Amino acid sequence: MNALNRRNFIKVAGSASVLAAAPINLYATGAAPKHTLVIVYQRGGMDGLSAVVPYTENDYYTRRASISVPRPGAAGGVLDLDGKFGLHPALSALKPFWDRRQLAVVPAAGLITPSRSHFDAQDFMERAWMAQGGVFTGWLNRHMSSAPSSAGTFRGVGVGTAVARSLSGPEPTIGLSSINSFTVQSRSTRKDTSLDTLEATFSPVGLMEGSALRAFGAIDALSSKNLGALPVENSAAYPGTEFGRRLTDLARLIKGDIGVEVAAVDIGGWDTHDNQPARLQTLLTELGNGLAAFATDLGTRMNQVTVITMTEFGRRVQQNASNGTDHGRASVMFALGGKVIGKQIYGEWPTLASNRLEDGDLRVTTDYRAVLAEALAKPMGSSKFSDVFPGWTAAPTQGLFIS
Amino acid sequence: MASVLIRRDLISQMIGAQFSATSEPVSSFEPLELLLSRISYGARQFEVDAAKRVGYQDYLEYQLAPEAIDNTSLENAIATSFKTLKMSAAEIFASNGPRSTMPFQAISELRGATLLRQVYSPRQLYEVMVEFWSDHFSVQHTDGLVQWLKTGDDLAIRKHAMGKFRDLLNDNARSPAMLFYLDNYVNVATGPNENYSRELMELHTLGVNGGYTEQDVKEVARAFTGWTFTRDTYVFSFVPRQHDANAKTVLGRALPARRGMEDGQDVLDLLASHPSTAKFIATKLVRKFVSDTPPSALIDKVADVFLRTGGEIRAMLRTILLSNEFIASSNQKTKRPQEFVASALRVTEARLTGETYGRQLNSRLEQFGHTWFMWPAPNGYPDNSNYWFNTSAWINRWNFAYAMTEGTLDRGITVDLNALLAGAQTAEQVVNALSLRMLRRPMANGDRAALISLASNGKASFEAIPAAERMARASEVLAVLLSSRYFNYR
Repeated sequence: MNALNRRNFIKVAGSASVLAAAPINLYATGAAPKHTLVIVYQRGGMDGLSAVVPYTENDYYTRRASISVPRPGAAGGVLDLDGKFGLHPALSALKPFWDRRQLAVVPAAGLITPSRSHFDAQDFMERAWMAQGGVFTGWLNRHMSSAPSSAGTFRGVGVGTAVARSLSGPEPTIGLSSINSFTVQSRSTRKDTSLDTLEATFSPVGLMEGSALRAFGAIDALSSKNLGALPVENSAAYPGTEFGRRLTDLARLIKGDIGVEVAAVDIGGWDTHDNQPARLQTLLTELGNGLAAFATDLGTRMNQVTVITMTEFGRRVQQNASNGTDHGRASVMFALGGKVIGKQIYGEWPTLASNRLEDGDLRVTTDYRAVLAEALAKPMGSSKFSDVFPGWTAAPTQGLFIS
Repeated sequence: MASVLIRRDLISQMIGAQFSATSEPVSSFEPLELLLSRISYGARQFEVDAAKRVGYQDYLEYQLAPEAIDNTSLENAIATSFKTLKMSAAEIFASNGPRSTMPFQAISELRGATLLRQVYSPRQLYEVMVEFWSDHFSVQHTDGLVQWLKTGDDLAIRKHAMGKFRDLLNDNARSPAMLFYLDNYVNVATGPNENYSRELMELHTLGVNGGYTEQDVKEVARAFTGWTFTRDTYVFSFVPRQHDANAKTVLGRALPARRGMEDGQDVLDLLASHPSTAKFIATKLVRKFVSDTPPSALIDKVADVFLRTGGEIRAMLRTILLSNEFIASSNQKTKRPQEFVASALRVTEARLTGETYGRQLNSRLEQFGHTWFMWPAPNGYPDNSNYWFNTSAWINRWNFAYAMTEGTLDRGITVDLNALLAGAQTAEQVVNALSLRMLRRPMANGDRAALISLASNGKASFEAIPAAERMARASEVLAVLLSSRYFNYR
């Protein structure tokens, strides 16, 4: 209660102080948004051809001689989705969501502008601007600018030690590594006084200082709700990993109705240049179990939540000599939620035939922005694409989401 | 609650309008203080004194010649405590139990030595450069064999951290840790692996827009086929039968057929002397020492020095640190977590004793996402403020500052507050003494007033704080100072 008292007090005293210069909703937890969009970023470049396997194509098995995932029915084989594509068995936790039409797959998605550099490709994707420089904000932050909202401090949340580039920009965001560490510990009986003094020394200008001021408000908002104590529901079993813990806390924030509208979570390690089968077994299990637990935990709340996965590129069709794959082009996006038109493979499949490849790689037939745009337009209810995706004139995908 | 209300009312009455003075920008450093802040992990008192005695230029030259700075007592202590640091990879394997077990000793000793050097080494600029190159040639310490190989990789980086870029690059291309991390150890003629090739050009030399093509990536990968390490002793080796001996073309240069290691060697020469590399390294150095948005005129100047001197690191540093752009760059760099932690320990002259502080500091840095050698991608920890500052990051820093000043961080980490106060008795004196030591520059008036009010706790700022309360008040001031925006700039 101490923190709450301190904050109530500051609201009273604030009018005469520096706090008057801050936006009025600085400390507010806002009205629950219509919908929450969760972006899961798989850093390193996931091999889409292993996650969702085109198991009817012989080219897949000949070019992946020592690292392919067997056909359905074989030992360790893929889980058939539609007679043509199969889910990697490590993603089996997601299969029930596919069957319940809450999971859709876009198997040849990615950047229209090729870059096989991790850092360029991630940067292009997160700024949604296909060149260095020019645009410096992230697409999620621009969405926040373009669709004014009464949601408060927690409208945009990056879960993890750092906030994703897609969220960076003028709209204030919260970085949260965990709910339980989101407080200042002190044994001093004058802790509140000391924190008040500290708060008073920050000026509300500049990104660095703005986030400090926001931290004070967010600490109080969270501690008053005790969200860290919210139980995991519906027997959901999160993986005991960093990614699992982040999703657990994100679900708590959503259940706490504190106004989370967009959130970004990372899962790294996808750069499988060597030893790919074993590494993907671990990573895909973590991804699949994590997302399945998240959706299970949120239960019917998933009608107001959409999860979209993305990664900077897929990997070469031809494996290398180290049982791995080098940087390629298209990869897979997953969309999960109650507003997803699931149990479908979306988009044109370019095939692995050598005359259909682009420099030996799987062609990108669905611009990742088209998927994001439809998610914004339908469940999120915002269609300011020219603000969010500058220079992009194509159309959103049709039929991946309902409003 | 009542007491809180009363306190704030009191502050409002006492300093009234001054609270709005907090929108004042952060003051600039004087040149010497700026230099000390950027070329060290926070200046300790004896370093400030020494620098003031000899002046800006001489102190810089002193730090630019680390081999002449005596650090034997520190290095002896490190060598005595940390046995794995000078071991070969084979010895680490032999001494750290079965190969399937993570070599905790080797990992924690390298982390511990790095921490101690950042905090205690008199060769501060050198340690800053070791960190810089460790990021430039980043390998993740817990990735497979890197666990055993990073110890040797660190020695190689330390050898040339203030020498020539070409030597660093040359050693790094042969470093078993890098050969493993970027998969060149399995890059063979029958199935090239492009991982090292791409990152060598994108991250180590030319930069992503440095003028290479996808075809160059493939050709350079072929040039490095056969560069690997021995599987029994983990030392660099070139295996001719795994090398692709066909002709290659790299950046327009023909590499003739029927050669061996000369291919890779030629590529390294080509890259290390390329104007794009000069510009890329210059940009990173200027970003490190001057600004998150590095000024292009200075970049050009430093790139020119790179080309003229064959990548002489000292010469580039001298150019940067004597430039007008540097002197004018106060508040353009912030502390990354390692810098924050090391500088908090240094400016408070904290004592590290016993067996537990290393573990505690390591776990704090894990929370910050900035443990030594643990960035999960080959581009190294980011060097910009936007990445490192968000709400949680601030809260982590405040927790560190409060725990350290309250003595709850770890029983082996202690601060002699009495010594820092140096006889200060009144609230004003306490704030003056501590802010001088912690910040090395003046605060905005409103901020200073807020701190004096905290320290005086309702009494007049010019009256001595009762002895029974003085340390508690001083500790509160110290926690706020280390948590402040001022301290978080570099």
